[in-house]
Amino acid sequence: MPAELEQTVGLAGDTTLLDGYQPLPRTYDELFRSDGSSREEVADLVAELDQLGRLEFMTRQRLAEGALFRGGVTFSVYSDSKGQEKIFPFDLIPRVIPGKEWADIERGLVQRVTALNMFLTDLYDGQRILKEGRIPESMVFATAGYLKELHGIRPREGVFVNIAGIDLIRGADGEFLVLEDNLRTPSGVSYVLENRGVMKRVFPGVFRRSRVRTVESYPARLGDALMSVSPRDPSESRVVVLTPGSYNSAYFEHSFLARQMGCDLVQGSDLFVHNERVYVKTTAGPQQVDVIYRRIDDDFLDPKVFREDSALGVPGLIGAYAAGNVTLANAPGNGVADNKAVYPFVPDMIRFYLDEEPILGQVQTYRCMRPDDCQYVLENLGSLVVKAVDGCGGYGMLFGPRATRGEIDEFAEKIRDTPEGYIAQPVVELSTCPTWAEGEAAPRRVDLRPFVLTGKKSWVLPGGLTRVALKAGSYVVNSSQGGGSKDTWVLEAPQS
Amino acid sequence: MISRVAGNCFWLNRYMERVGGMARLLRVNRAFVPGVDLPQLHRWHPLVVVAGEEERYRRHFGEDENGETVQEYLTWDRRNSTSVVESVRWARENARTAREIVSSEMWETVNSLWHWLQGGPGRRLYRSDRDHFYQHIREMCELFHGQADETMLNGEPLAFMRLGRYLERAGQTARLMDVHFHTFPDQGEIDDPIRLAQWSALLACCSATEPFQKRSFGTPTAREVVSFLLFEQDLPRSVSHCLRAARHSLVHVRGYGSNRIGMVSTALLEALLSHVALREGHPIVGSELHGELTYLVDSLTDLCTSIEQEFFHSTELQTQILAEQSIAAAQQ
Repeated sequence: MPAELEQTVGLAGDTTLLDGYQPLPRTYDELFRSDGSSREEVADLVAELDQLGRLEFMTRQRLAEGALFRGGVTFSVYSDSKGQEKIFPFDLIPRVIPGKEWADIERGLVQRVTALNMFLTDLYDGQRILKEGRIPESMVFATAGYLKELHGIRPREGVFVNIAGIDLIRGADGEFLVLEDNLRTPSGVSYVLENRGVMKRVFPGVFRRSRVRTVESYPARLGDALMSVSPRDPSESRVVVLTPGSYNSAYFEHSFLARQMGCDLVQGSDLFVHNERVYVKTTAGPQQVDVIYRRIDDDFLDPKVFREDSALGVPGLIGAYAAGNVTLANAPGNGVADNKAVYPFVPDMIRFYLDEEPILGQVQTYRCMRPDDCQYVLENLGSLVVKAVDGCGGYGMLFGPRATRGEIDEFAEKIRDTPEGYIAQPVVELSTCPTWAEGEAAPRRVDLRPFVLTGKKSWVLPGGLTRVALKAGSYVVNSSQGGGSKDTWVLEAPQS
Repeated sequence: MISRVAGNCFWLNRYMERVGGMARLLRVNRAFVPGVDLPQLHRWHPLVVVAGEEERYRRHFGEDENGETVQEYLTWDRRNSTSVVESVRWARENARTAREIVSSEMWETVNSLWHWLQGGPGRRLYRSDRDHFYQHIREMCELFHGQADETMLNGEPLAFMRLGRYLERAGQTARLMDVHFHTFPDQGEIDDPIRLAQWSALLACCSATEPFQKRSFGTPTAREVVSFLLFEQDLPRSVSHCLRAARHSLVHVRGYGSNRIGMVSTALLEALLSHVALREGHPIVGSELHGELTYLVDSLTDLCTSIEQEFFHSTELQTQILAEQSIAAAQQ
């Protein structure tokens, strides 16, 4: 132990935490200007963190990791029977968003989710947007997300998207852009809450003085949002969280949310349908279920309607949903609104349904199904990011600037074969945030997943999950591929 | 509570009881074997029989009754579903699945026992000081059951945990006795050193050595030991005590629910209890004892199956209840 301590001192000495931190060229940094001075809105907070010193910081980082492991805040990699459980790597340097900036993001998110909800309502009913030619019909029906079995079914209050996770990135000019809409079963919110708990324990002082907006009300807000779309009176309604089971990598989150909301966590086999109503099997006999916050994919929900081989779902569930006897949150069929082929049209949806200009920008997108776009993409593969329309989690994509000749040729082939299966986007220089790496704070790229809850109206969790690419120079923030997370601090707007 | 989760509670404690029982049995046998001159077959083979693993063991190891092989098999073998390591694995899976129900203290005990067995420390201790190894496991199980009583709300989940624990324990005691009498069939006074060692081992496996000394005088007889292990209500591992404790939990559980669920299980348990009560005070000897113990073990198996069907995997019953309810509603 003494030897180890000595070595640490030798490495870090008493230097301040952010001493010598230098943002990357041509990249926006969340806390620092390009000249190396801290941004005005966060200057006080940065100074406080800085004063901690590296030794103290390292002590607190160890404390935090210990707390997360003991608390079992883990995601599991069940590739072998040993059941490897790891903590989602957590970086203690917070990502800070000034209050004024957040207010715009919030409005932009609500606007976007509102339009997406209206789009889904329209698409599963009159399809006005298609009839008026604002979105090509082929674009919508070519994707796997549209479920024709559900045409004509309108969920409670017309809300298809009760829980949305909208991924944002920040480009070199400092503008937030929407990268992806997650309207099916977005995950990650439990880490937001657990990370915050740890931050408050290890940085009580900094936290208190910084006037950070709270995130702890999320489970209660989620409960309210779910209850508000129950088919029965709230006083007699039962809400459950439906999980694929304890081997799912997000099981911790499912269990966490059920515990925090004070409702039951169920698996498909715990539910059954009788006379188009859903019941949960309890030791006191069957109890009717009104709202299901389901964390299993559409395909697996009901073997009578979708995948017959699904053992995760509940036979007859879709029938009960269609009869209006149960609310599924999110509604099935949302995949048609959050896939990469429909993404380029979201700004048009906002204009079409709300008659407003989009508040949040998004990344320019080439659709390979259009011959002009396709040609451009094929000629510029080396500088573009190519994504499979139905891919997710950072899989099935080509990152042009880092790809080998062979990989580029391989993708070119795929695009020529099935152009409708691909889109391409210019590389966005994701913003960076100081992150602890090998004994010092270094710039690492981040994104942000805010969560939007919608019942009778929408509410945005202040902040969200900041994911960080822990490898130097990496753009990939996914936890499955070497990403970590940070606490996101939205500051109270200054009183004027 | 959710039927499946009730099952998780039942099995969590059942597996932990099994782990403790197996560790105790192995430790006792390690002390027993070197002190007596026994034919090879009577040394370690009976443990495999108690575990119900005779057939599978023979398939893998043939006639090899070497103590090391048996201990390795009963402790570490993943192919043996009753091995210590497998039971702990399943206890932990049940706890992890029902994390929102199981107290953090219990979860941490099961979790750390699992990590201890999986990582180096458990293996190392197994090699260097095996008695201490089994002792540690036993103590972790005792800690776990103590935590269940100390940290859980006294509600339905705890009642299912206790139910699992006592039914497992009743079965263990009955199986231990059966194997013992199968191996050492003679009755009567326990008056020579070898027979004394055999009987002491049986009592020790049931943590009953000291309790028995407190209740018996002079040279013990086999009949006294049998009677003690079957009927002594004050002995925590006697069959009678375990059945009564199980009844207490089952009544508790049914207090929460519909009359329709648990009917069969209650009837089976009551029948078993009155059967045992009728036998009490009558001498059970020889082959009659084997018949009696077989009856007990089989009845316990039936009871557990019925609990599974009625409480944990109850789809048919639940649909039936709904149908009855709608008929009743229509008649009103």
